[in-house]
Amino acid sequence: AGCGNSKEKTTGSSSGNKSGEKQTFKLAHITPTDHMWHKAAEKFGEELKSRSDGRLELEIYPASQLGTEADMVQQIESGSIDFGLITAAYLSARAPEFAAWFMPYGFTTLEEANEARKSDISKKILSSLEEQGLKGLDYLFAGQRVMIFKDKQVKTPADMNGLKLRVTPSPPMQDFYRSTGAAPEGLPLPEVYAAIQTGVIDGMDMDLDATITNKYYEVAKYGAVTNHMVWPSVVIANQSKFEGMPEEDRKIVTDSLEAAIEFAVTTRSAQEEEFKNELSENGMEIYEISPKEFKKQIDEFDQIYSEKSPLIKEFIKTYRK
Amino acid sequence: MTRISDVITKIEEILMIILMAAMVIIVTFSVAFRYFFNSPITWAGEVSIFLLIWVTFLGGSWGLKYNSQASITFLMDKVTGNQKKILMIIQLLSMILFLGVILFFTYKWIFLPSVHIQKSSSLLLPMWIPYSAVPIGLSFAAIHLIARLSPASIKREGAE
Amino acid sequence: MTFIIIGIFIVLLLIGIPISMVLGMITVIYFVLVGDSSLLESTPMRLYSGLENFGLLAIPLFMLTGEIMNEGGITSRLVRFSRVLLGHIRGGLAYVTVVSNMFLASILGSANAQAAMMSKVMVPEMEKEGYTREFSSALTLASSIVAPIIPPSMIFIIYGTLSGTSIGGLFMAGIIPGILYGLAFIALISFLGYKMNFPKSERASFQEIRKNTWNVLPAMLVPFIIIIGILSGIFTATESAAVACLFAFIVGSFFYREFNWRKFPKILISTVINTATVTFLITMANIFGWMIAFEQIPQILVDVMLGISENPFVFLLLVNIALIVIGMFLDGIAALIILIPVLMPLVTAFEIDPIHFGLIVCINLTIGLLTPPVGTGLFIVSSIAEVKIEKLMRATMPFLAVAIVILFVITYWSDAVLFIPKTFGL
Ligand code: NA
Ligand code: NA
Repeated sequence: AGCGNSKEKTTGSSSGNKSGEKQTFKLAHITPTDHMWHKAAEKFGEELKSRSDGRLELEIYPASQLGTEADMVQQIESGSIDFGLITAAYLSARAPEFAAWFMPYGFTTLEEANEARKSDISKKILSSLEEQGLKGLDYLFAGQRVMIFKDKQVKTPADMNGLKLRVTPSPPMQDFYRSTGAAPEGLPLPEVYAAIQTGVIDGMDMDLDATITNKYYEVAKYGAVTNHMVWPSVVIANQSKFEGMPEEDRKIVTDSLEAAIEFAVTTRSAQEEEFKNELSENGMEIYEISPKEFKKQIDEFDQIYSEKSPLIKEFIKTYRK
Repeated sequence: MTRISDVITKIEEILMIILMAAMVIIVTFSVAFRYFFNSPITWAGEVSIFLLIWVTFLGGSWGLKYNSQASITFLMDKVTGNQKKILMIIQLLSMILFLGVILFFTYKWIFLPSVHIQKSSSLLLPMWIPYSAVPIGLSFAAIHLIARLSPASIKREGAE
Repeated sequence: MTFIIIGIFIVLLLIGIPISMVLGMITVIYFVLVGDSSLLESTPMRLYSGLENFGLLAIPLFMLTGEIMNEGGITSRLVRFSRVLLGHIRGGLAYVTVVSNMFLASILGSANAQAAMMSKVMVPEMEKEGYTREFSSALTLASSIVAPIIPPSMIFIIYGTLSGTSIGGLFMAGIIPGILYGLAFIALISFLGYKMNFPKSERASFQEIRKNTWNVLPAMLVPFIIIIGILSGIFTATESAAVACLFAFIVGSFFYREFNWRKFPKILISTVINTATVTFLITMANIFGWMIAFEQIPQILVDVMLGISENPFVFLLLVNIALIVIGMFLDGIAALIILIPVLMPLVTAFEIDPIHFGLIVCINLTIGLLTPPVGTGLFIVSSIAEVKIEKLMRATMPFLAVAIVILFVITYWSDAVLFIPKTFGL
């Protein structure tokens, strides 16, 4: 193996490509290769290739190989990679408007959220990245968030009072859990299995996919399929580089992306029942909690976050039914 | 330069004491708060990592001043006298050159507008505060290495 | 190009530049050679974020625990305790060395630190009783490899954070292999003891045994707290380090009353410096690993290895041989940081348990501390005990051979490694 093969590679840094030129893009993301996002990235690569007759290609760097999300964004800014799938959770630390997507119970199904990504307000949120020199191209969804509990069947938010729950360290998510009286903790993912097994935590905010791949069903008895939040990543690119691309190539990129995103949503939606069954078969009790139970928490969230920015307010107004 | 390097060493040591003590206290308290008061300190993990990073760059710089970082001393043990001095000068110059390049890009990075809008995920602390460990620690390191280039220092180290 | 890079790498290492700096330099040189300044612009951020990991916090905390225990008079008590228990058997003091190393290992996490400490304490004692200095220092050196195998362990922490494996799980997985190493060295000593007619000392009185046991109990609280704390879920591996610190402090100042407050600032400084030799290396190795990832070397390697064989047994054999060779030339932690991003995709491809794999890799690289030409443990003991490297190497050979045999036992007997973590679901 050698380091010598990068000469032939046209890295993204060579700007001003004319249409008709061969180009290999680099895309980085944080998930392992069995995750829907990686499959969507692969689909994006296939589409790029076929729509450009082999002229445009994609190299994928999965599983945080190139660093944390902060790194990936930085590398997109500097131009060493071309695309990143960056979670809205991370982006909301840089562009607070992305917190809008974490409105609890905003969307009943993945398809609904996927429709919402095409709306003007969603696009306005994307363009809030432009002042950072980043082009938010589109949203890509993973499975919705569910709640996993070790040995207490939570039926109402009141049951969550005092529970220690692992929640992604993102303010809107943690605020939602805090409003139920739970104590959210931002434990690193690799420690979660052991932490719930031994009782360091009583449960977690997760998606069905990771509950299966990380075998949390072995150590947690209850899975409440609340689908209370969506989990979008944002496909971002370097703005000036993207806008410097020939019109034709830009269209190929956005069309390919659209195809990959639709593919991911369709595939993941079809898996919902399968995942629930798989967890049941592995001894986890899968049940639902009515969104009505969370009325108080929803109102509290809407109120606090509507005050944070007019964009968030508009987003909540549009999608809260 | 030697004087500046010595003053910096003093600053580094004081910071090491404060930051390290803070780290132990924060992590211990976060266990206690979770267990006895059932209310985790959500920012504890984040802040202790910031402390670890600061401590790394300060300690790393200190280690370059006293040449205490792991290296292969094979050749250095074999040679003596002028040969040893020349080897030391080559070592120092190449490290200074390296730090010069890194520092150029580090300062460019730390002053980027996009760095200034970043906030930490739980405390919402401006990220330039923890990020500054890189330019400050590496600048200190470069000063130490330049000070080690002085004839007196080369003579002393060469005699060891 | 590849050869130019490797050539510069070797030259920089040989002229004595610190390994951490060499890793950073070679990355920058490569980026300059490929002429991609956007990579250089992203380098500072990578220097920062490679350390953004909660698991790594355990490194300074365990280092501090070790420092406090040392100041608090722990090492001498552990040695005295093992001595009243085992001193009277033939080769008694040799067993004492192994056993006190195992005790000390449950507090310290680094073989180098432990080798330094124990060669100061044990080698003169053993020499006084009639053992040769070569044998005494070789035994001390070899026994020090249990330091990172029995929890806590720096190298497991680094492996855990780099590979995304549970550190608590790795700690628990180290217990049985650590004991296996102790037993294997004890067996080797008893064999050598008959051949070389080792001395023995007087049997301790019952009173002495009682007094020393009583004395050592508070010290043994520290490892107890770590293990029970992790297994029962009171805290994570990182938090256990902070709690261990607190207890070490309580034991040192209230039970042994040897801990001196005025020394505290000094202890904090030396903790930071020792931590930074590891974490500064990690941050530099991190940009090096980033360069390797950028060139997609892990993917290339996966294809090559899968092309050789799809059998995990063969893969593990190849990994072990490669690591023994690499361990001869490279410091264990540096090698780990460079290799883990490259090896982990293979571990997934061959469906090997990442905890088991971690034990294999970490133990293998720890053994590298004993192997010439670059063996930090070897250098430390040789300079503290004042034994010529060549003589020390020769005397270490039987122990090295046993260490490698046990490594292969652990490689192919995964139950020995995974029994405890599986039982407790870590
Ligand atoms: Na240990
Ligand atoms: Na070696």
